[in-house]
Amino acid sequence: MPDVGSVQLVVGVIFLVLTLGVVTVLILVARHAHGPALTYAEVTKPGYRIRRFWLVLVVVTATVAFAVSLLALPYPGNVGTAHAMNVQAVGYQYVWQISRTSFTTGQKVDFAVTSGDVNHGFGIYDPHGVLVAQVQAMPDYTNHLVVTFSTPGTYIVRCLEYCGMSHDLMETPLRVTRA
Amino acid sequence: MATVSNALAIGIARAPATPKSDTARRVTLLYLVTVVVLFLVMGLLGLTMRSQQAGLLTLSSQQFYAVLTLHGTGMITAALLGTMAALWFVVQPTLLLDPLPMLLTYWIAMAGVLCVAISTLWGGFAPGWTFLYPLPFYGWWPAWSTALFLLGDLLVGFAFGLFCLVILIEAVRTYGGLSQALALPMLWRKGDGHGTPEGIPPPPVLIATITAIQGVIIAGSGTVIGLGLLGHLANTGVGLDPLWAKNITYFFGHSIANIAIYLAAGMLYAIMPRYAHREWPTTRPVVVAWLMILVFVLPAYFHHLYMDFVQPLALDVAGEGITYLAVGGSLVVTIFGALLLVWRSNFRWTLGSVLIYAGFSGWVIGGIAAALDVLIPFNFRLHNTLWVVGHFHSYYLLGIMLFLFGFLTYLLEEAAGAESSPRVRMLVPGAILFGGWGLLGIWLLGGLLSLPRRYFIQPPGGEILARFAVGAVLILILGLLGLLGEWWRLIAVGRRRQAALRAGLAPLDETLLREAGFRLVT
Repeated sequence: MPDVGSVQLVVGVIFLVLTLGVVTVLILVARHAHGPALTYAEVTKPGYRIRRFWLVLVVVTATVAFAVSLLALPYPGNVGTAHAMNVQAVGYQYVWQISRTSFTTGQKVDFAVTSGDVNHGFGIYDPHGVLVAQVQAMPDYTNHLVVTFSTPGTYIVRCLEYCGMSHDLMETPLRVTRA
Repeated sequence: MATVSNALAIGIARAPATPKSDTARRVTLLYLVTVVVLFLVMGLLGLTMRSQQAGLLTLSSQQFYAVLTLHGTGMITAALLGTMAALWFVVQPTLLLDPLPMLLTYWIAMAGVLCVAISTLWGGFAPGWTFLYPLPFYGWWPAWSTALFLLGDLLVGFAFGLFCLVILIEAVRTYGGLSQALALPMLWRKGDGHGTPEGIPPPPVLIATITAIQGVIIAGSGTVIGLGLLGHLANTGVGLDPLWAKNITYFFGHSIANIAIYLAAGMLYAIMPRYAHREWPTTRPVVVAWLMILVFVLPAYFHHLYMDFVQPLALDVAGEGITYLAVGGSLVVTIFGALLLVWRSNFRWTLGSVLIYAGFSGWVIGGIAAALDVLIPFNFRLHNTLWVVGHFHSYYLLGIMLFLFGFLTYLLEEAAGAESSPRVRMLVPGAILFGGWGLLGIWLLGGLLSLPRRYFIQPPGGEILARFAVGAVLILILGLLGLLGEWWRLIAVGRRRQAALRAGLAPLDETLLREAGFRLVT
C-alpha cells in the first residue's frame, strides 16, 4: 500500500473537516424540519442574516485559498529553472524514452516532456509510492516540469493520461542517489 | 415496459400541478423509465470494471477500456436525459411546450446511444468518453467504429441542443424577451421576498432559460470537435492542433457533464416547495446567483488543463477563480435556500423527498472534493488520480441520480395517493447512502494514496481497495433493488386507485393502503 503524501494529507484533512461540517448541517436541518411550524417570513428574516454571514465566510475562504495557491504554483516560471539539468522525456504507446534516468538528491531537473503519438501523463512517484509531480505529455508541444528529488531511491514514472490498451503498464524507473 | 409507462401516466394524471396533456406525461415517463434502465445497465458495467480491478474477473484490456468508454458516455447521457425530462416537466405550468420536439429529441438521443453501444461493444472503440485527440486514431479499433461513435455523440449533442433551443424560444416568447426571461429587471427591483413578482419567471423557468443558453453553446462546441475529428478521419490532411483540440474537448466535456446538476436544480426549485408547503420565489440573490452560473460555468473548464504547462498561465489562474465563482452561486443561494426551505416547515418526509434531500450530500460533498482539486498545487498531486473519479461520481451517483430517483418516486407517490412506510423510507435511502458513500469514499482514499485512474491492472494497493469497493456496490445494489420493488408496488397501487376511480368507487382508503404497507399522502 502506498503512503499518503504530505500534500495529499492536507487535502484529506481539509476534506474530512468540511465533509463532517456538511453532514452535521444536513442532519441538523433534517431534525429541525419539524417542530413548532414557522412561516417562511419568520424563517427568512434570521435566515437571510445567516446567509450574509455565510456569503462572507465563503468569499473569504475562497479568496484565501486562491491567494495561497498562487504562492505554490508548480510551473517552471514559478519554480525557477536556474542551474537545472535538462532532460528530454518522450512518451510513446506504451514506453517512456528518457534521455537520463539517474539523478542525485538536491539536483534540480528540468524535464522537457512531449509525446510521439497521443496524449500521455508524465507522473513521478517517489520510493514510497506518492505522486510528487506530474505534467501532460502532448504531441507537437513540449511541457517543462522542474523537479528536485529530495529522497534517494527508485522513483517510477507512470502514465497518468489514458493512452490505450497498455496505458497501465507504461512506466519506467528513475534512480536517485544521495548527493 | 409499455404497460408500466401507461400505468404511470394514468396515475400521474391525478397528481396536482403536473403538465396538462396526457402526451406530455407519457413523454416524461418515457424519458425517466429509459434513464432508470440506462443507469442500471451502465452501473453494472461500472461494477464489471471495479470487479476486474479487484482481480475477480478476467476481461482483456481492450474489453475493459471499451466498457469504460461506454459507461462514461452512457451515464452522462442518462443524467442529461433524466434532468432534461425533469426540468421539462416542472416548467410546463408556465411554459406551454409542445411534446413533439421532446419526443423527437428522445429518439435522436436513443439513436445516438445505439451508435455508441455498437461502436464500443461490437467495434471495440475505446479512447474513453472524452475521445481526446489524437487517441481515436491510434487505437486497435476499426475506423468505422470511430465514425459511428462520433456520429452517436453528435446525435446526443444535437438532441440536447434542440431541447435547449425549444425551451429558449418558448421562454423568450412567454416573457416577451430574453432579458425578461432571465429576470434581469430583478437586478434593479427588489422583491418583497414572499413571492415571485408579476412578470418575472419562477426559478425553474429562469434556470431553464439559463441552462438552455449554455446548452446551445455546449452542443455547438460538441459539433465543432465532433466534425473536426470526423474530418480528420476522412482525410488525415485535415490537421488538428492537439492543444486547441484539448481545449474544445474539455470545454464540451466539462460543460455537458456539469450542466445536468443545474438542470436538476431547476427541478428542485419546483418540487421541494411542495414538500415544504412554502414558495421558493425568484428573488434578487437567486437571479444574481444564476447569472453567475450562466457566465462562469462554461469557462470553468480551464481547470482541466492545469497540467498542460504550455497553456497560458493567465488561463490557469482564471480557471481557479472562475470555478469558485461558478460554485459560489449554488453554495450560497441554491443549497442554502433549500435548507432554509426545509427548516421548521413541517417538511413532508416521504421516500421521494428523503431521496431528494439525500442528493444534497452528493452535490455538496462532491463539490468540496472539486473545490480542493481546483487549486493548482493540489491538482498537481491529484489530477488523473482516483480522487477525480470520487468527485464526479459523488455528483452523478449520489447527487443527480438521487435527485432523479427522488423525482420519479415523487411522481409515483402522488399518482398512487400513497406514501411508503417510514421503515422503507429509512432502509432504502440508508442502504443507497451507505453503499454509495462506501464506494465513493474508497475512490477518494485511492486518490490520496496517489492511485491513478483508468488503470486496467491496479498498482500496489489498488486491488484491495477495489475489493472493498465491490462490497460497497453490493450494499448499494440492495438499496436499489429495494427502491425498484417499492416503485413497482407504488405503480400497482396507482393502477388500483385509477381502476377504482374509473368504476365510480371511492379512491383507496387508508385501511387498504395500510394493508399494502403504505400510508395516505398527507
